[in-house]
Amino acid sequence: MAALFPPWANTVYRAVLAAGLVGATVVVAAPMVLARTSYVTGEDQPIEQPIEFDHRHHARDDGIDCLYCHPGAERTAHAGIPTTETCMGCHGQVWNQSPLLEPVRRSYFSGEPIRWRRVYDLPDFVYFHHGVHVQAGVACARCHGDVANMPRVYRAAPLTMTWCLDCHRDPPGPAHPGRRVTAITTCSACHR
Amino acid sequence: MSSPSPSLAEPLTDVLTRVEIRRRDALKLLGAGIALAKAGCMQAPGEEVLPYAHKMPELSPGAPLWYATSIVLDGYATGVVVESHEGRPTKIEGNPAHPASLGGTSAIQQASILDLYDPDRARVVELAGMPSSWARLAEQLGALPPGPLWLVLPPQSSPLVAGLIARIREGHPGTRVVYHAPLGRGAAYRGAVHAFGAPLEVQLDLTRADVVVALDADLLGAMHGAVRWARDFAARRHLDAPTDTPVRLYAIEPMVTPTGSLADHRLAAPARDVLPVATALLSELGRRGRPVPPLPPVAASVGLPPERLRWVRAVADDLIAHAGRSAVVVGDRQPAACHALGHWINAAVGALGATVRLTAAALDEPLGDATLADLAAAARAGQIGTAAVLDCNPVYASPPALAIEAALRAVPLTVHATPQVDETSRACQWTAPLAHYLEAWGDARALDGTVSFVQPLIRPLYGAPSTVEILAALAGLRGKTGRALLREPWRPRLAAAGPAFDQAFERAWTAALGDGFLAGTAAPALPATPTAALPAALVAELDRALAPPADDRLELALAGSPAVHDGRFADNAWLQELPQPMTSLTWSNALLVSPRLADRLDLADGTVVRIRSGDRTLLAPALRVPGHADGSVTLELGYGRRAPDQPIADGVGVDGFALLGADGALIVPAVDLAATGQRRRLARTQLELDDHGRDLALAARLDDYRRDPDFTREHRGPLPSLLPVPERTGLQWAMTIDTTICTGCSACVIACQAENNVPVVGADGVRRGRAMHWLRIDRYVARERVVHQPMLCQHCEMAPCEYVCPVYATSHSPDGLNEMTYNRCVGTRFCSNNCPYKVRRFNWFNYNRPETTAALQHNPDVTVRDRGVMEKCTYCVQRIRGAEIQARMERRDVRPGEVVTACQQACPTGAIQFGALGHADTPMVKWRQQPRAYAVLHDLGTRPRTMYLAAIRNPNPALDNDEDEP
Amino acid sequence: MTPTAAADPILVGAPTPGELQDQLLATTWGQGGRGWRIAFAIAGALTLLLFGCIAYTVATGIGVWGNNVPVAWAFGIINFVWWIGIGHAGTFISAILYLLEQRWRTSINRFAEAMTLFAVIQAGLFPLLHLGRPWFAYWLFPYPSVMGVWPQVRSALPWDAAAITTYFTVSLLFWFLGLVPDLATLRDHAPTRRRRILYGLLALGWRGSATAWRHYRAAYLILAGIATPLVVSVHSIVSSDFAIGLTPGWHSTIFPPFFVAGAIYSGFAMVLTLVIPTRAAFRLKNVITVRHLELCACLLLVTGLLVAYGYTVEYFIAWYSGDEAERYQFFHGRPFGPGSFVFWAMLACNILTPQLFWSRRLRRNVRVLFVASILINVGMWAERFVIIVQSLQREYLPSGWRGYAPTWVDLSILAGTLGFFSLLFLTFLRLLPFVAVAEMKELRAELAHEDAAHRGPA
Repeated sequence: MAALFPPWANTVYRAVLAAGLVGATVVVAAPMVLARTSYVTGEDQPIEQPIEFDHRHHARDDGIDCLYCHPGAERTAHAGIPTTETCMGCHGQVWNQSPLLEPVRRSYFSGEPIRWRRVYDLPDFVYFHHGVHVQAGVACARCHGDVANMPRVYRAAPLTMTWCLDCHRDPPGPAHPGRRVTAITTCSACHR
Repeated sequence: MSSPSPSLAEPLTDVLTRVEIRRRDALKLLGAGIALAKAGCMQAPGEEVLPYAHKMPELSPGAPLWYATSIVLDGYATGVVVESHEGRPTKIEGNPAHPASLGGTSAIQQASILDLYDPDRARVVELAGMPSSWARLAEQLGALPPGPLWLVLPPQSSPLVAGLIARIREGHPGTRVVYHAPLGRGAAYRGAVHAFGAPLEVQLDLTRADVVVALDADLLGAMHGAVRWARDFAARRHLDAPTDTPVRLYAIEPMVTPTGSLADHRLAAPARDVLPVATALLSELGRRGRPVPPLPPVAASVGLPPERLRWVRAVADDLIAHAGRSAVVVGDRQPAACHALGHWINAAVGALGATVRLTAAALDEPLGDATLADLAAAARAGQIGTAAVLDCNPVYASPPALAIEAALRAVPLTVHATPQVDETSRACQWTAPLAHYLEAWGDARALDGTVSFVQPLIRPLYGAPSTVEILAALAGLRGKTGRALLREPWRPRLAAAGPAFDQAFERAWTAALGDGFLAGTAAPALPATPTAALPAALVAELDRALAPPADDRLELALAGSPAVHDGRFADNAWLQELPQPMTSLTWSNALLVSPRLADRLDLADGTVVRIRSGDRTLLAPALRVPGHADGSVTLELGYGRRAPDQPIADGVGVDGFALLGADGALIVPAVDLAATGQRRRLARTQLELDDHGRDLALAARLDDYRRDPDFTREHRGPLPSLLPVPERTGLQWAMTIDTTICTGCSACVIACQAENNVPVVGADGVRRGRAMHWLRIDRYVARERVVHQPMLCQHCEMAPCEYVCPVYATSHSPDGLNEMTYNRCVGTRFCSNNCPYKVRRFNWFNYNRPETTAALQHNPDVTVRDRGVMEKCTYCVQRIRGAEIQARMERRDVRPGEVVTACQQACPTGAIQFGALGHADTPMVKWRQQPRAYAVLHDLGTRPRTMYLAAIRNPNPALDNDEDEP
Repeated sequence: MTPTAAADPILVGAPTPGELQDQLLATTWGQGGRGWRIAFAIAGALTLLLFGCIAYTVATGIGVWGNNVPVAWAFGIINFVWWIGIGHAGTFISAILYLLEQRWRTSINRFAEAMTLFAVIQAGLFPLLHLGRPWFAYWLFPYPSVMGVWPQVRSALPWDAAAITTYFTVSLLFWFLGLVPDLATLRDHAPTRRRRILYGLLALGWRGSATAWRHYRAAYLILAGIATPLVVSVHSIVSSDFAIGLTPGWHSTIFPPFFVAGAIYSGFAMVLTLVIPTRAAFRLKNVITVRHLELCACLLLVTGLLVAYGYTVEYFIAWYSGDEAERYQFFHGRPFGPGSFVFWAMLACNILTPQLFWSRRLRRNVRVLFVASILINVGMWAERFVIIVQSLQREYLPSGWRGYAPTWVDLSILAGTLGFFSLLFLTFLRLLPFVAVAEMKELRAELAHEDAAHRGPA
């Protein structure tokens, strides 16, 4: 009876088995790796905004304090996006003819909000409070990066739960002396 | 962050800025509100965020604001404080400073927020079913056809409305007003007329009462003023030590009400037997030498069965023994004669001026102007030019004999202004949407006469006018905003004339709106004493009423529903799904019968019964209620609506009004019952009222408690455990509930639902055992004695649910909370199986309907749960963490009493106390140190953080027998 | 050999190796009869129903089942425990009886192992399906997630996941390893080239050389050794899904052994249910003899008594504990509460039925055995219903008491798994020799040898 398989069949067979094992490993490992890449976390990806707003001019060149436009950050949950009124506070005088600022003026006179795109985006089931972090001496840059040098703002942190926990498990000393910083890892600190 | 309690220290409302906000398009505001409320959402990447174009005064995104306003029901105002997120009202709280609330609220008040966002609200003005406009209607109202104008509207106590009606009467001579309230208090006022010659208002001061007798009066539940009275009653009922002597409560009533369930001696009797009992009580007082007027001979003929006579005599003795510190309260449903006798009884026991004060009525025209019957007659006679029905539904809520629908159709011009298109709308030519009270300006008086203001928190979602604005249009004041209308009459009253008048007025006005009411405007007590002799009218009435009944047929006692009132709240899903006190029935009413009667007629729960009263019949499912009087059956009103535009209300339950006699009396003297073959599956949350001899809801009589204060020893104290004790840091949160003062009114249930975005599951869901309430009220009945036991997550220190969760979705916080992390839950439901208290709730489907306006009510501080996850009471963790964060930012510790849970805040009696174990001098801690404190299922070693105080009863030794043993 | 054994052998007659092989392989060559096709069609239809219902459940929500609060677990977990229990007999036969050198196992072990495998597949569906959010089931496995949280080892459920996957893997390997020599035989004797290639691929180039056999035996022994503890461990872990709870009727230390006994009990019942028609349909009465059935019956009697003992202890503890909820559960809830007929059915099926087997005549009556085996299967399902549903519906707080009623989806899924199981089994019957050919030949040789020795020199 003729041999059913040629001699090289063994090699192929072993190769296939090996490939199977490797494949299985990859299938399991790949998602874990992927989940940590910026491709999934959306880190470091500049987001286009309805208005070509450049933090470099405002924060770096003009040295405007973060809190001037994001006053909520100090005391409330939301840092807050500045109202059109805030923009016009200056741009009513400077660059008040600039075509770039046309949407701002339109918003101001129509009362229609400017539709900015969210950069830092937490799930609905996560409750983050800016105020308490700022009060504890966490510098804006720790999470937001060097915004002053970002032409177009991108996310400087993965915003994964482990990333939050890195600080929450062993918080670095307070930026300002006399500020209380405690490790809070209980679930309801963020999930309510 | 939702701050613990509505503080009036909030920046006072500046009227102009409120108007600023109102001027903006409400929906856009809401849009922004939502976008900001969800602090970042991992939906489509690069989700939009919309800042306000212009600064919102007072408002910083994410931080709620509180505004004071008032809820008016049947003419009586209750002050509330409303939480608002980015211009979006989300939660009602009682106004701690308002005399009718003292911080408490009723279930109905709690649920009223949902009506604002009800997707079924009327949205457009319609003429004969064709869309029209408010402007056109206003025009029409400005030029009425010939013939007198008839107004039908709920009882009013509003100075503003009174003024407007006066103007209307000037403009349209012959105008008649029907103050329509099927659950109105006309009899009470007429009773006062009998006794004092004037329709006076009874003001109870229960803080000074040692003995209270409720004659078919649900003074702790359904009656107007109950929220306040419950708080006062509880103050005298709660014991700090066995040595305290709590107020003693007697009640006679057919159906077990919250009041009756707390009574030390409850006489289950048909409502029609209350008048004879009152008569007997008065004559007994006379026999004991108290000053009582000579009673007509018929009174002597009143023959009470021995056990009732015994009851009456004991009550009489007790009332006299506590003369000056006792009070008799008569229910609104009772005839005027009964109210009148109540006044003489109070006079005889020296209650007047002490526990009972009499003041001018809060309502305008308390005795009414015209009645629905007059309206029907006039309409048929063609003597009505225009009928304007405002904010009520007489076609549904009226005796069928009056045929209101036909009557209205006979009127040349009919206008119905209504929050929702209902039965009456169909009978009227014009239908106008009506603004919700959170969209409207107005004023009203509380039961005690305190002037309270209604101010809007949001611009009308559908541009609907308010009652006031419609009346103004009728009065010829067109184009005036509600605000302008309200300010005008108050200008002279709020500030003294003078050079700085305007500033002074604005300051006073702002302050008044900030407080929500004008302090010190309560009606003064009148030195009223009842006439020496009974007036002839009363004697005649007594002769009629006390004549022995021809036969002892069953009585039908109609009552307002604790949930949907007279039907006006029937489209409110929260209230429909609210388990009714005593029956835990949802999504329907039922014919409530005593077990004995049920056995006699062979009625099982759900057996459909044909009720016949004269030529009127009605089919209703029966439900046995332990403690119900045998000679009577009870049917709650407000169900059986026929309103296709109110899908939630439509066809739910049966319409009790169908059995209402032409006189509208709620006590129908004679009905016949006949069981039919059919059976209806009632949707109830608690099926087992028997505690099977297990010590779950502990209770004791006062003397037993004094003899053995430690009687709960078996149910508290340390127990050994093999499990590791969870680490503890920071404040340790806990709750204590006093079952002595819990009336089971269920305000807490709705408050929890509103605060925590708890969904409704519908009748079928409840039948399948899937109700979602985080807080339920367990009731155990032993020997017709009820103990209400609010049951919520006990936050066990050794929580059985925690160690069985495979993914740590439920875990223990260092401050003693049993946390539920929805987003980690995979839904094995092991935790629910392992919870001995069965307080965990599972999302069997996706109950959340984000596409409907109802979603706008959601509390942004609480995650909206998706399907497949477990949920449960969190001790309002969002409020705890909010307070902690605030304290942290202010570099201080959380203060005692700073965190208040939603249920605690709503509770009228203050039976629920929450706080930190470390705060030693808060009631929460002091209470649980009492000897009568106990933990449910203590022997399981779960170490619940929620503790209960055993229910202590204070029976009268003279009446005391086994039956009264709890 | 005992006289009885002599009286009825575990292999009737003295077929030559060739005859035996042809007879055993015939099942794979021959066309399945009409009966087989009808059975296959029904099983297929039920399988479709199963997957239809699964899709419906996952799309709509677990609410389409009858579960509620307090009865948060019901058919899903009942079916899970029932199926995984059935699996146990297979492992018991193939591993433990192998180590105990019980020869009679040879004729039915392949068969039983297949049953195990397919039963575990059914069982494996439920832990997944009954989740509120099945798509997050992987959270039950320990892996380094970006959430920085791990499964909780104090809960029985992650162990469940581990146990089931282990059990499935080992059973599969064990079964496949046993198949290898036969696959080779199939490869060599398959009529068509396509079949030969198919079997050839699976046979891993088995040549039957002495070395190969030596390695094979070693490997088989090792796997048997690994599989043996699983018989005990898997169902012990399953039992702790309940035993670690404080629900009255659940928290009981008797559960692990009680569950294992029950598992083997139901497993052997299922073996009989399957083997009796099969041996008839495929004319294998000489290979799977009455002797085999009788031995199974004896095991049923033993395990049945163990189960009965378990019930007794449960009741004793309930009374002895003095816990009122526990007592209520056992003395009121189960015998007289809602669904009590299931409780009584359980007692009848699980305790009375096996008592028949005290009688040798009945033990050897195939019809009786078949009916009894089905009754026991039903009884064991009822037992899980009693443990899960009846315990949950009457717990500590009467206020929370509520009954349970399954929906059409529950019933369809149960029927569906029966169909899916049958589908796999019928397929297996046609594709592979369900009696281990090589081992049978070996057994035949041994028996012949003993026979000779027995007769002694002429």
